[in-house]
Amino acid sequence: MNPRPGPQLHEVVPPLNQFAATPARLPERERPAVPLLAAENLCVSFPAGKGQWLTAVEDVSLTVSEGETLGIVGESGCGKSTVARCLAGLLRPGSGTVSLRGELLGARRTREQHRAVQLVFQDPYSSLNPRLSVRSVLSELLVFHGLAQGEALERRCQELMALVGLPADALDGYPSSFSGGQRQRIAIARALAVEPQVVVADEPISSLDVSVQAAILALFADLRDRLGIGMVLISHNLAVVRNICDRAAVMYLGRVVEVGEREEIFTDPRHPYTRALLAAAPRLRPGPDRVEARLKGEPPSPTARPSGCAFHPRCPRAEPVCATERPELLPAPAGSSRLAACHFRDEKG
Amino acid sequence: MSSALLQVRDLTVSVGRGERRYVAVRDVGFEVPAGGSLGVVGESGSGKSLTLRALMALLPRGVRAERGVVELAGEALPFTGPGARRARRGRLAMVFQDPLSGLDPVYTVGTQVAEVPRRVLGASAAASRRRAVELLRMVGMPDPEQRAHAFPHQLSGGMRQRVLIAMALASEPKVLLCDEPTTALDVTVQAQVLELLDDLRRRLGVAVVFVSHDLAVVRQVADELAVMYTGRVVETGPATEVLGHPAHPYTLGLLEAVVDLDDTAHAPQAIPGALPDLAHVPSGCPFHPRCRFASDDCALSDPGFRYLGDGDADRGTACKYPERVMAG
Amino acid sequence: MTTFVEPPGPPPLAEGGRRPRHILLQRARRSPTLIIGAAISLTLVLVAVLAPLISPYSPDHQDLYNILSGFSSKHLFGTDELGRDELSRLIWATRTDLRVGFLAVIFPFCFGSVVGTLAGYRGGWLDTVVMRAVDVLIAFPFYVLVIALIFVVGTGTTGIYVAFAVVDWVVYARAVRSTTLVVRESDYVAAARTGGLPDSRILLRHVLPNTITQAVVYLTNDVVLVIVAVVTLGYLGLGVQPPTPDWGTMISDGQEFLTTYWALSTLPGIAVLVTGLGLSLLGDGLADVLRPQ
Repeated sequence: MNPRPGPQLHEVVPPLNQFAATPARLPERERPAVPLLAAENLCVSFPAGKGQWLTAVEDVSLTVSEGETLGIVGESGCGKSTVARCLAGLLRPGSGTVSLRGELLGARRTREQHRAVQLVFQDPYSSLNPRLSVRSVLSELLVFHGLAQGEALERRCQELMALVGLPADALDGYPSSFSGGQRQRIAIARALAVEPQVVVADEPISSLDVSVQAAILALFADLRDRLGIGMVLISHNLAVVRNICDRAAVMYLGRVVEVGEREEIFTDPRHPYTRALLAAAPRLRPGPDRVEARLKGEPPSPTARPSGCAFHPRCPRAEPVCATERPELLPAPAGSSRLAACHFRDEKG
Repeated sequence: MSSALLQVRDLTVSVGRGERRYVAVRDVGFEVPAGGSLGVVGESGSGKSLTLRALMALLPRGVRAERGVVELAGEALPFTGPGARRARRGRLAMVFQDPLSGLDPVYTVGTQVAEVPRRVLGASAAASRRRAVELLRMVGMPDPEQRAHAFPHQLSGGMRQRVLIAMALASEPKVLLCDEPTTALDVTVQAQVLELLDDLRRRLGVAVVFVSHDLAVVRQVADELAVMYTGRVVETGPATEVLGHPAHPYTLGLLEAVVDLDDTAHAPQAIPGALPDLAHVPSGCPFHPRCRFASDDCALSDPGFRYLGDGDADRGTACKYPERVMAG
Repeated sequence: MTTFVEPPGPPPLAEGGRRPRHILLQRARRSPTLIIGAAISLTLVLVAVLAPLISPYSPDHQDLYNILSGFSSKHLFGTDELGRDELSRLIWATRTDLRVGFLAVIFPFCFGSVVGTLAGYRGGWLDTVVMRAVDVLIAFPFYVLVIALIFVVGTGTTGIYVAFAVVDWVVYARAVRSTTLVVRESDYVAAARTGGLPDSRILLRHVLPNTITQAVVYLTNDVVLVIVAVVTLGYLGLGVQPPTPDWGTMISDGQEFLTTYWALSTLPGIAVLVTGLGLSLLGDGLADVLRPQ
């Protein structure tokens, strides 16, 4: 897999509707020294009235390399969408940095910097401007960034449609003519129009029907392989993350509690929350009866964080130290690239 | 068949008026034994939610139940008229999908749960309050006496869903109809609620009809499964059978499309084509344009629904050639 | 999901292209309110535009030998106290009042919408300043302010235009601002921002087209209010000045003859009623059609 400097859209590619996602990806890959996109010590807080602050994201550091897909999993309130917005430049973090190939992205990004990181949103029914045709949406971006004009403009628009598996006459349509899956393809085309280096997808398929989810997932996989872009996939659905991501990060109440290579996380989770998520996820085929205690309680409100490790009130493994000392995100087992924020990270599941 | 508690036959629901009318639920039938659980699975447009609403006589304006029979313990329930709601009290109850809109924001949850014993069953105010606390405790709400005084917005999503379940149980129904009750919940909370429903079913002997688009979720809850497509039931049977050896191409397609957590070798395959507009359903078998087992006659005539007579009385399919599906 | 009745999307691309306008026209045709309102309003506009052609007499022409005559074949609606033909004056007053009404509402619409959009999108100090200004102006009863301004600026059409410009923009600003607040948070605006588009372009192409419908619907209602206000001012002698025919002055002039020659005051009153009705129906119909389904 040669990392390319940027996607090439010159070739018209056949529709991707029937394309099956590639199964398990290669575990070890060449990783350049400087990651494509890196977030370091991100902190985001919102005022919550009465002088209180709601910490949505606390001390989050993540990296994405070229051609790599990073999955971020977590339940509501964990801050994953906030992280996505920070990465895309929509939200300014209170502290911490986001850098592209080592270059710091400041509070106001330049045109080029904006192009580099694109977002695909969750709800296909509200992520497209109802008053603009598909052609207008794409042309606006292509012309603004000087990527195409005149005849080349129309050709590029058609190429984008082909890339996401839509016919060329879709360009004339307005969002109201399309189904959810088709709208999501248009949203993906919009993201790809500016030839980004990283695409951040925030729950891109959870609003779609099951049979359509598979098609969009396959589209993402194919684009990743074909264009060599980095991807960040945010999902609450562990199965999807396991299917398409190379690495995964698990978030709880604004912090990353575990991060590592995909198979490590899924076969040998080292944080009790990750184990709980895996245990709770519904499965299609009956498996061995999971006797682990069901996780009790609910995620606490971000305005009332428990002391020490935020997970300790619900944690089946908790001990007194967990309430007083917050565990750091450290390698587990020692020396590996996988990190876990638990005092008992060296214990196997 | 006579042991079935809830029997539904030939339920047909149409939406719209005049030339814009289309059939959203067509000839739907199924049975649920006392204390049993039926999962109804389908995507958007499958008619699964409308079916539940029709069973509860809660159809909105412009949506009509054209025909059909709903029988509870042998007694037919009317679809319209003032008797419709009354006939369902103490027999059928519904748990809705969105706890935020299912609860009135200006009353405490205790008041809302107590409303049923008070107004429907005629209990005194004090007895209703006690019953409400009891119900809240039964649905696993911690500290129910305190929480009864909370307003819906003060509770989390999972707690609100439990309140909805408590409200549904307050009328002591024989059958609980659940319309995607866990879709809006986090996965760990969902697991808790599913376990609660299973537990309640066993303890109270109440039958459950569980509608969902998520096959994996339904598998946790349901003994029997009914798969719906464009308003029709296309397959029924024990959940393990249907999921393990589907007898309808659509069920097979769904199983292949689902991304399963444990199955890393399997690449999800989309079902070719797209869901048809309910106003323009393909002729003959509605699935035939997307079916890889289809023959020419699949487009010509409606395949109807038949039971596979292999010992499983409730194993049925709407496919003319289920043997092709079960082989391949 | 706001509705559970979810027929799957329309057949893929079968009806693609030009959909919004096509759908709007379809809906428009099915709305009786809109059709009736449009018919009435259109008739009024035609009367106003064609006044010089259809009016039997000049509105200023005084036939002093024929004052206060009742209905006759020569003067369909009779003559007023100066012998001027009532019908002609009615027709010309339509022209005057509609013109002044429409013109008076243009500045508030434009200024209010722009200010509202900017305040809603930018927030911060601009929003605070605008909203406080709105609060102050809204605190005063409409007519009190208008009349006070007219006393300052002077009577006549200039006074009317200035007064409404100062007072009437606030409601547009508020309505557009709240819609803008919602649109600002939408995903497609976020997408435009990640696309690197500058705020000015986002406002023009993404925000304004989606917020302006609100202002347009409000406009159709506001025109009615403004026309009634113009008539009222005319009645009070503070608006359109004689000899220009205006329903308000006609009503006021004909007051003293109510018991004898009732047509002089009543007919202009009916004209105002019909105008208000027509424009209101038009506004309601438009609101129905433009509402996002």
